[in-house]
Amino acid sequence: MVKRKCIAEDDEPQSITPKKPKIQLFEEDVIQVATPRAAIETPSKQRSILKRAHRELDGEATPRSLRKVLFTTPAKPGDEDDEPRDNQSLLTLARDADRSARRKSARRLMGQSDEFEDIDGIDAEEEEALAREIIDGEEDVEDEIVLGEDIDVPDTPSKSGKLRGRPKGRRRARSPTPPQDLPPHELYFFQNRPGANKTSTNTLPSSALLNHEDYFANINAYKDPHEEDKVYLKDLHKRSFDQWVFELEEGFNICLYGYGSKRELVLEYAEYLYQHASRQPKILVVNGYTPALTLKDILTTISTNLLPKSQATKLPAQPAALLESLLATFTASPPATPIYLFINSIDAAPIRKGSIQTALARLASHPSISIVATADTPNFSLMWDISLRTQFHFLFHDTTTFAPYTAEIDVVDDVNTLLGRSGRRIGGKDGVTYVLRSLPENARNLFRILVAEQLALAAESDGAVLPIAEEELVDDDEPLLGFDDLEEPETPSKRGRGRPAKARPKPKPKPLPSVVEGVEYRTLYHKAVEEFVCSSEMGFRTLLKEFHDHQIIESRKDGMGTERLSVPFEREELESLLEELV
Amino acid sequence: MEYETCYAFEPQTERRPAKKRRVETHGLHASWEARRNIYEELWAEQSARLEGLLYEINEVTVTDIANFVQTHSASSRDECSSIPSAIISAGPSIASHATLFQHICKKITSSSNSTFVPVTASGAPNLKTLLKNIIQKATSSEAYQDDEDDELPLQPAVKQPRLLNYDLQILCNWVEERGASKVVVAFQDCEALDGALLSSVIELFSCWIDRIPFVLLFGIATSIENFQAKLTRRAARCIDGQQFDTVKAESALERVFATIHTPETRLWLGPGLCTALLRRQTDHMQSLHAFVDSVQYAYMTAFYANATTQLLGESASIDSVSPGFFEALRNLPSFREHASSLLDEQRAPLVRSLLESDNDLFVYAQNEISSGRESLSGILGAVDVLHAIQSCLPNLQQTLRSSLVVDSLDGRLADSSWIRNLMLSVRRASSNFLNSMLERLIKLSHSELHPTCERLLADLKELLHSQGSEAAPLRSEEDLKNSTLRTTIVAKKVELSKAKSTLTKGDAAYSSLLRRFSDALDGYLNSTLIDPKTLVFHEIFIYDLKSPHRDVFTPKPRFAVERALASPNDYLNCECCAPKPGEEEESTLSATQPATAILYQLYLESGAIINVSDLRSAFVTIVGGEERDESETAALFQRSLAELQYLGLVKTTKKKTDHVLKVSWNGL
Repeated sequence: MVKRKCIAEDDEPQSITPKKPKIQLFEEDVIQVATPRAAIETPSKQRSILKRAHRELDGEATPRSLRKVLFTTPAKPGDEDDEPRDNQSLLTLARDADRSARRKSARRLMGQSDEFEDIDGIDAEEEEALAREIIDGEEDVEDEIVLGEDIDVPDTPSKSGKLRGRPKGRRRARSPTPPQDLPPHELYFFQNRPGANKTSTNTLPSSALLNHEDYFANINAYKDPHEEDKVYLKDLHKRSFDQWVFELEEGFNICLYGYGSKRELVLEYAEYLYQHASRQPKILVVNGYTPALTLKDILTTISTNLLPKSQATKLPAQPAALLESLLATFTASPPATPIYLFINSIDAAPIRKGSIQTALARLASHPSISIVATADTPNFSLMWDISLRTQFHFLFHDTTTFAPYTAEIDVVDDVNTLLGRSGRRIGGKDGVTYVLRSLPENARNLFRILVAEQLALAAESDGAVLPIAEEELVDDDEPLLGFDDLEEPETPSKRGRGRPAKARPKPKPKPLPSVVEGVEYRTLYHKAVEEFVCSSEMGFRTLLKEFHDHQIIESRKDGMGTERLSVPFEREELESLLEELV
Repeated sequence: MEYETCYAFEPQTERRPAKKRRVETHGLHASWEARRNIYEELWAEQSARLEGLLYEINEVTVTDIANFVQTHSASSRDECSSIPSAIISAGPSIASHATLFQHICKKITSSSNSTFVPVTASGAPNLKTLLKNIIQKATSSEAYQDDEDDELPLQPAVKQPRLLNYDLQILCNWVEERGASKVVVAFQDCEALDGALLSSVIELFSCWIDRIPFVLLFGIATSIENFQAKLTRRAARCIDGQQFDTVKAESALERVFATIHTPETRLWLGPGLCTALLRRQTDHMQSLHAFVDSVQYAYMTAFYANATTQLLGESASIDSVSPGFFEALRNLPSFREHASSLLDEQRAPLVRSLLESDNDLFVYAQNEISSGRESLSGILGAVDVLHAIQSCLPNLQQTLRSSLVVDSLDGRLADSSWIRNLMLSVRRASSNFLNSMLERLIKLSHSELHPTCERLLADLKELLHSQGSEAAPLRSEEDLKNSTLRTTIVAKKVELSKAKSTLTKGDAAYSSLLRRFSDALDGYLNSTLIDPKTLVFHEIFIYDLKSPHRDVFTPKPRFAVERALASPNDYLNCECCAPKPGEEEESTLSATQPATAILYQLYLESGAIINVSDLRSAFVTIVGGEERDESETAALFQRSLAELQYLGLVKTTKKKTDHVLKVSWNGL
């Protein structure tokens, strides 16, 4: 058993040991500039109250200019804090809250531009929006001096702190270091607490993920320092081969679990079994991880390998009926040799479904069929309820091998899909251009429109949360067009076209979409018709079909149920793709 | 071959002839074949007993139900529209339902001209599928596959329009063709079926009852009221139900457990294992078959892993033993203890001969084992005696026999508070209880107490006879009713004294008789209820290892995977990753660990949503030294990330670019 340290810890992080030196610096700065004034604590819990207070004061969030003022000097610091605190009216309370909220939000904005503080997915955006509002409100109401218009270079925290006269001695800094040694459930709640998920916005450079060729070249060249230990571990497992033979012959089935690919081990066991079983066995191997695997494959393999040809061809084609008749045949005339079914990765996605597991359990429960299955995921036993489990009649053995899952996983593709970069599957940008080259003119045009639209959408949704500096450059009146010019000068067709020029009085912060959600099917169709790419929806569909076949576009339904089409690429790649297409 | 979906395994090397194969086993394992034969012999006996019992347990119910089916199908053919139904309250242990229905199916199909259609909730998502399944199962049932089968099908299909496969007309035609006397549809898990679906099926069946002789079986785990509440009123009216009760799972388990240990048993299961088995049964609602499996596995492991079990064979001979056998025998802890105690008794020559002569040791061990088994069956007899006495005493808290057996095998029963209580109640028992006790004990013929009991019973009968038949039962002197509290005031102090009220002559005679009985019982228990661990060679005939069972039946796969990744050194046992002696036991990250393990530990440190870019830089910091190639590290990272996803630890997310979701928390 693993010895586990279980030390109860009190809640507060007793020793703040930040990982990144940056953070430490920041905190030191804060302490340096702190002034010993009385402070209103603004715990994050008060956020909702804050919002209300703000609304009450301001009436409603009036549209404001895009001009952002980050750092302002407090008008009269003395006034602010010398006010009597005991008989606070709702107004002063609200204002105080507002004020401290302002500080906090300014800190937040600054933190973002410095990338000191992490911002989480949703909450961060909301908070940021709030922060913006508060700052803007401040500007309007108190009419303060604008210090800097163009804040391209993020200021150092210390400077900004001084400028805005960051108050308070004690600041409740939330340490990025989690408290150590929490029990598992506490850790779960700690990491899932609201607003906890602050991660940086760093993205992987495109060079970070290797393509197939590089990956295999490197992984094959890699020399595992643990080679000997793994061989030793496997030898330990091999010692139980004899025991497993006994267990199988006694009518149990075997399930192997543990980390590491067990395919090699199972094959070696098959060899051993073949040599040592008291009667010469028939061994069938099923690779559960192969995506094309179906129940019918398994059953037909059994029938073609184990039944005489005349009998095998007579069997029904439907998997359910086939299973029944197979079992009936085996019951009626039990095969002379024991049948062993070796199932690699019984919990892999292709055969994880309940119906297949039920069928496998039926097979397993038959006296002349023995099963040796391997399971890779930690929670595989959840697949089986009590009746399936009884039917499977499994004995479980821990065979941790640490062997890499070479056959089970397609590393490069899986990682790309995991990170939403499925476009790399078809060989990246080059692959797409290659495909397009073989397609007719109309198809190329349609693809160009799609890419352009997608980029436009991306720009639009990005615009909301663009760094301030960029927004500063934009003229207040027509931010959108300005963006367009900035972002994609190379898409002339799109300007002024059907896209409704939304007048955005104030950029509404939206969550930064990781993957562009795609162009609406209807929109794309209309565009295509306008550009005479196609004349009917039929033609449009045919063109799209071609793209689908080559996996260069993806389609999904959004929350409203409208179909959205997208090209699964990152923005830079899309841009260069568009350049090539035009 | 690894990318094929499924294929027949082709061995690399040819199978060697059978004679050569067995040679390579060496050492203690060489006798495995002999032990395996003993195992097969012993297990065959045991499993025959168990299987018989399993069948017997349900037999009464099964026969009742079969009779019900029999009688109802003949009479109610065209009377009314209500369907004869057997409602089987099979108790909450769902695992045993399947067995019960299998037995019913066997019984019904063997005894009469009927077809049996089991229906489970998984096969009944909606009415159409349910009907289709029922029709398919009924018409394809094996019982009717006669020889003249081939000519029958397809003939009606010519005349009639093709029917939809969920049309009950198919079933109707089939029934007419075969002249089936009834169609038994068994709903195994009524709780899991949708109430509306069940109701509509029942209503539909009632419309067809004049043409198709339906009989319905409902297996319910809760109560009839619950079941009825589920049905619509119309459906409930269609049912002509009769209730059948099955044996409760607990009492069935008691009976099965009692079969494991009999006086003839050669391999005994130890107390620890028994406790584990019983607990698993009650905690996890296993079927009785699972219990039998566990017992079988105990037999398997005992014989597989312990070379000395060869002595348990009837015809064990000194020539057949494996090389290290006697060394193993002499190293058994119980033998060592025994030898030293023999030395204390000044019996050095015996010890010397046991240590020097294999032959002497062999004979000695065989004798000791059979005497050890005798004392074990003595214990079992004592438990039976106690159990019988307990059931005669009304005011005693009843303890299950299984727990008595477990306690006695553990050697704890002899001086337990339970036994003290029992003896106290025995001493207070009145004559009619003693009478029934003695009668019960005489029936348990094998106990040493037998002659004493017979004598006592005769004396008691005589005594009672002399008292006359109508007299009240005689009381013991220790009975509370026979003593009174007396208050006296001596020198202004109150003195409480207990005094026995005067006993009648009959009571006095009875008391002495009772004392004789309790003394005899006490002596008997003291001599038989020994601690089995004190028996020499008990390792051979008592199997008491819990860990193989735990590992094999209740695995912790998640823990295994987490452990492998969090502290790979536990498995790899390599020098490079071992925690330094000065450091804590807890695993620490080091560059030498397998890449996936490193990534997993970084993963554990991160929050619910993980930035892959940052994860990567952390990974590179740990793994990538100066000498490491950057793209090699990248490949390792990529592979590790893919493995984490394959293991179901991370999930893709659309919330942020290049982020993944954390799915599992270590230790949760």
